[in-house]
Amino acid sequence: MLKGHLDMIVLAALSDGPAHGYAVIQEIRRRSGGEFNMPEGTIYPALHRLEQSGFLSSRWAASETGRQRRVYSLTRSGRRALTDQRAVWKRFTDAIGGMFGETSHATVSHSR
Amino acid sequence: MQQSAIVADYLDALAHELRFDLELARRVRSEVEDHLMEAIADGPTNDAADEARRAITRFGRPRDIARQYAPLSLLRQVRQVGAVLVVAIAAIFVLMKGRGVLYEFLQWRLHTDWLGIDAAGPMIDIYAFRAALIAGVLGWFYIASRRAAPSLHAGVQSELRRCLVLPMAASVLLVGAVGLDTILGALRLLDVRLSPAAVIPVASIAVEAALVVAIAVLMRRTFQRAALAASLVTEQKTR
Repeated sequence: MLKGHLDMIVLAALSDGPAHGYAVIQEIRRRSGGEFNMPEGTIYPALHRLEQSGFLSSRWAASETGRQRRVYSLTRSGRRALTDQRAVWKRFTDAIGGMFGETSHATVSHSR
Repeated sequence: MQQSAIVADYLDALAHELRFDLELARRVRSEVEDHLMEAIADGPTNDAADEARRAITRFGRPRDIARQYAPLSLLRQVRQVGAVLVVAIAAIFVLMKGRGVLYEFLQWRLHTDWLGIDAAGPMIDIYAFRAALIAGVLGWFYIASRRAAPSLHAGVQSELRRCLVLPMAASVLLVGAVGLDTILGALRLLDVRLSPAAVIPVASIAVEAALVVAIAVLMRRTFQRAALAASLVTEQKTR
């Protein structure tokens, strides 16, 4: 399930500002309370894929240690995609919540 | 084994798996090196070699990572083929039209009936070019509509093959059109006295030939890259 939402997770992790791959992984771990603990290597192809799709832009920057690192940031279309996916996800979780009796039908209908 | 040697071995293995795209391999190597160094520095123990091994385990197997990069790299390459093809078709169209105008202006007509080429040649040339134009533009639209899959598998490979069918057809037709253009141009020049004006059609045909060669080289590179990337899937199946 996590695999199908990896792109959305990566976009969300970058919503606070530009970051390099390692920081994105740390942010995902922090925001998910350690629940999303995928192989770290899977994040980098996702970053490249999102960049190729125009959702992210990237540039080389020097780290504090002087090493070159690739820093990624959301583009305008990446922000739009994140907003859209967030709305879809909200509808989905509301609907599932409704199925389990956690959300009233009115809330589910209202959020549509 | 020291931490730097452990990391270097891992990076070498990763670069080897990514050998289907050397530019990508260089970029990924730099990014992953930075990642591993930071992970080692962040590690809870002071044993750098142990931290390096742990960071590498968390990162994943080089082949699994390369398999996730392959669709991206192949799609980028196929898009490049599509773009170059469309630009080349447009350039060849301009060159052909320009030559036609020049031939009319200088009254350089085909006077030979060698194999009936004076009648059928220009017609075949035009239809081959039009077919190449249609195949190239449709191929470009199909390629542009594709999105990179998260990992390389048989379905992705079939889709990439489909992406290359129309550009391949366009390239073959373009080779035919340019080849015929060369023959027709040579026949026209045989009938006229050599003049400085003859340099123009000769140069424009040479540019067309160069464009066709560039497309062929790009196609070959794409097939080589696809074959190298395919080994990532083949070896997974046989394991």
